[in-house]
Amino acid sequence: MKKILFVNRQAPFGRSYAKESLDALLAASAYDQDISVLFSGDGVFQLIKDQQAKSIEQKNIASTLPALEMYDITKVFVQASALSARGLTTGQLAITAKPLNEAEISALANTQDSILSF
Amino acid sequence: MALHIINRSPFQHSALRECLEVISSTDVLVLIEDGTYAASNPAAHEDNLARIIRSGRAYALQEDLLARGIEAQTLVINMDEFVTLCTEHNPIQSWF
Repeated sequence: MKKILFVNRQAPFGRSYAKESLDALLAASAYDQDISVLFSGDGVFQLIKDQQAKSIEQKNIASTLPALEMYDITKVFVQASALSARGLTTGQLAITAKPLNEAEISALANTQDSILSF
Repeated sequence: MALHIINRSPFQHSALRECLEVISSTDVLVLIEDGTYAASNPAAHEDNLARIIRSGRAYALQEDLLARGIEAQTLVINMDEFVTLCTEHNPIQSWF
């Protein structure tokens, strides 16, 4: 079993990274790996609840995220400083994500076998 | 009067900042797509942006705000109103 960290740094709709990351995450979960997910930088915008993506004819990222838990992906983290820089709090997020500071993120990354960036 | 269109996140790209460096006091700013993130928390960006918002010259596109689950401190317009603004201003400059 390998430790794999998915790093999401992009906002949800301007580009397709968020959707592709989620697809890759759910696929990877089928292979019984030790998966962690980090939302940092603009990636924290993926977590905002009350997204109404149908207004731009896309699918809600935030409404798919609760599926992570069903796929046994429970190590979900968010960069605390990225939230505060954007005026957000954990209460505004669609799923439970553990806030990490930069030192904790560094430690998390350094324990991984692979890091996939989106 | 020029109309400036921003479609990139102010946190990851310099498009908004570079636009605000050159925008004139009568120009209008429209935030679309990931540019709308600047509308929710303008204090995090430039003083210039807050001034443009106060003077009623900053708009954000409703569809993109709704999709992203954010609230704007700018004026909010729909797609039809965006088109109208485009017909009322010249030139139009896109920043991306």
